[in-house]
Amino acid sequence: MIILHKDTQILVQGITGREGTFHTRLMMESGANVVAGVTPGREGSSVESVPVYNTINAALSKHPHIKMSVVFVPPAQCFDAILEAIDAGLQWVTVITEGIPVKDTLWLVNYARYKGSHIIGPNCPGLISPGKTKAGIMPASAFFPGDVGLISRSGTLTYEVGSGLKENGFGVSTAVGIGGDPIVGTSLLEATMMFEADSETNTIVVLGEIGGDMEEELASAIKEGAIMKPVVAFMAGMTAPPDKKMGHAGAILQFGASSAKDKLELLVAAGAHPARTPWEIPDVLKEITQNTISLGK
Amino acid sequence: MRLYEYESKEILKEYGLSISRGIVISRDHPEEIEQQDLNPPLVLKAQVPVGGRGKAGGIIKVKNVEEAKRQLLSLFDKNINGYAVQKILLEEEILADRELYLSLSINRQEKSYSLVAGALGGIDIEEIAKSKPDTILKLSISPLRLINNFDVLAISNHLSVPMVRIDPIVRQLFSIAVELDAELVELNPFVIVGNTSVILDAKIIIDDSALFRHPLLNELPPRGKTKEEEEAARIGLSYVSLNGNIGIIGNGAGLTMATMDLLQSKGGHPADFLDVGAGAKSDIFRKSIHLLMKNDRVKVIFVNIFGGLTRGDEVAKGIIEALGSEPPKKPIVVRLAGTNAIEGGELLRKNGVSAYSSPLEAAVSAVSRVGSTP
Repeated sequence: MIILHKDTQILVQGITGREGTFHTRLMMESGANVVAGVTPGREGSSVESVPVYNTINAALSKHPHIKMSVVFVPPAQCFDAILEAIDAGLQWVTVITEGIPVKDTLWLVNYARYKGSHIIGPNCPGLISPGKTKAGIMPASAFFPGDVGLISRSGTLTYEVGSGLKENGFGVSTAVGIGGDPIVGTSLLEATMMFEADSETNTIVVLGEIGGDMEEELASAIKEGAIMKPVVAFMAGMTAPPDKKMGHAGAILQFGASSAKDKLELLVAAGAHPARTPWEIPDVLKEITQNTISLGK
Repeated sequence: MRLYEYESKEILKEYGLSISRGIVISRDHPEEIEQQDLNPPLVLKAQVPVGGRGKAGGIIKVKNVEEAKRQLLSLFDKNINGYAVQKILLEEEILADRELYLSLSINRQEKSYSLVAGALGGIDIEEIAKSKPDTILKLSISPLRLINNFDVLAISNHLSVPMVRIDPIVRQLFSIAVELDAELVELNPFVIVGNTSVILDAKIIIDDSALFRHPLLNELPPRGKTKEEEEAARIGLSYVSLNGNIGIIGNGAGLTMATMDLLQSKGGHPADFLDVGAGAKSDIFRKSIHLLMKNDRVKVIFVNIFGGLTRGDEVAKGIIEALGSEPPKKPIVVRLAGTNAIEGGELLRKNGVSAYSSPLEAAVSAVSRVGSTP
């Protein structure tokens, strides 16, 4: 598993909001160790028996081992909330919120790097290590524990693929959604490198899409030999028209950028295994597993 | 949101930059041209939210006002790369020895601002970047520090334009990008005439996610959208119209795109991308079905839902509500998986709607029913 351990202490920003409260309960049901929540002005109350504080520093004074914040704060207040988490020295900030201005994310991602924090998202479903812990909104029922590292730019597609793996006897070590915005804190490559270093992960599944060039960056790294574990890649948006935002703010095929087909071809040329649809991924994994076994003989 | 040239130029003017003199004439009031007091030669420029308008005949140079009046009406009749011309900018033509390029944009890979200066302006920058890369200087600038003197000096040297001319332009590009949340501010071209720099064409794209904090920009009418897309936006759906005949409803951007790709791979042609988002309730499905039912291009409706927060029974309820007591005018094929998919599937079949759990079988079924009666 990557990023979190089973017992990693988690804080929820915006815990008293509708989404914050609902998902805090679901996270805890999935094993997450949520020890504190933050909503300015609500100190002294509790949500799902988790104590609420006015500020992150107040929470840290009672729970000094918090490693991650999960942010459910509305877009207009997000800059402030994320900055507070970075300056409080939290190692990870997972931002679920959709619709944060790109300028805010751009600044925060650079600032986080400078301060030694890592942002996951924004506009992401977070991550789950099935049976162990969860930070975010992924439905636990879609995932089964196993040795596949799953990385995605899209929420629902992650659940769809997780569920398909489960039906076919595969499970995931961790599934992580890196977010659908033009600028995200953790890239496909960074997430892949974490799975490469993870002893519980044997294969890596990457769900990319049109927009940006994170897939190209990943392809170069595979080609250079930085990733030795087998990578299965699917690219959404093969039939997307140019210059239209396809649901995600970051899913736009701009002039001069690679199409989904180009991205997949680059990854395949670098050595990744292609899946033409998300539903084909379990079959591709079966082939890889069989080949590995026969090579072992 | 992509601003029209005349809107972009109004912003540049507010930021103290020089633009060519001109007036905006709207389609419904061509007589507005009578208010002009411009000095010929002039140029008529179609205001469309799309590039390549010069090649498409959207820019017409004229020698005098009489000629401008004659050309005005024919330009309003033109279709420029798929867009009707609603407004025309009539400007004084400015001739200069050298046309230059300058833009500021957000660089997704480097997570920085990209400041690009080109010694050859007025042409498509992507083409120049390929054919004459030496004429382009690209600086990556961290949002933590923004613009500094040495950046401006690099631009000044590259373009061979004195610091005093280029400095205000470069700095105002940053002011606009930061203050107005612009994803792109592009001056292409600008020219140096005597002691001043004049911007001849400009394009500004504002980050849609930031419109909430720019009330004036937020009030501008939508653009670059088809009628269907405008209607879908009013309902709050994420919608893109496509050319095919199978209407798609999905949840989540990635899954909806994957659904388009799947249909295409089975020989089908998607008529739209419609993403209902996370946790949609029955009313959203009802409205989505209504939207596709009244779209003549759509011959079959394909609903592909993986329920996380979205519940299969809500999907089914919405579809059944949309159909009412009438038999459906078009075949509907539904694929449900995840939360409450079994309940939803039973509810649909009870009401005569085809429901599948396999996306592939559902896609094949949808493709086979194009052209058939429900």
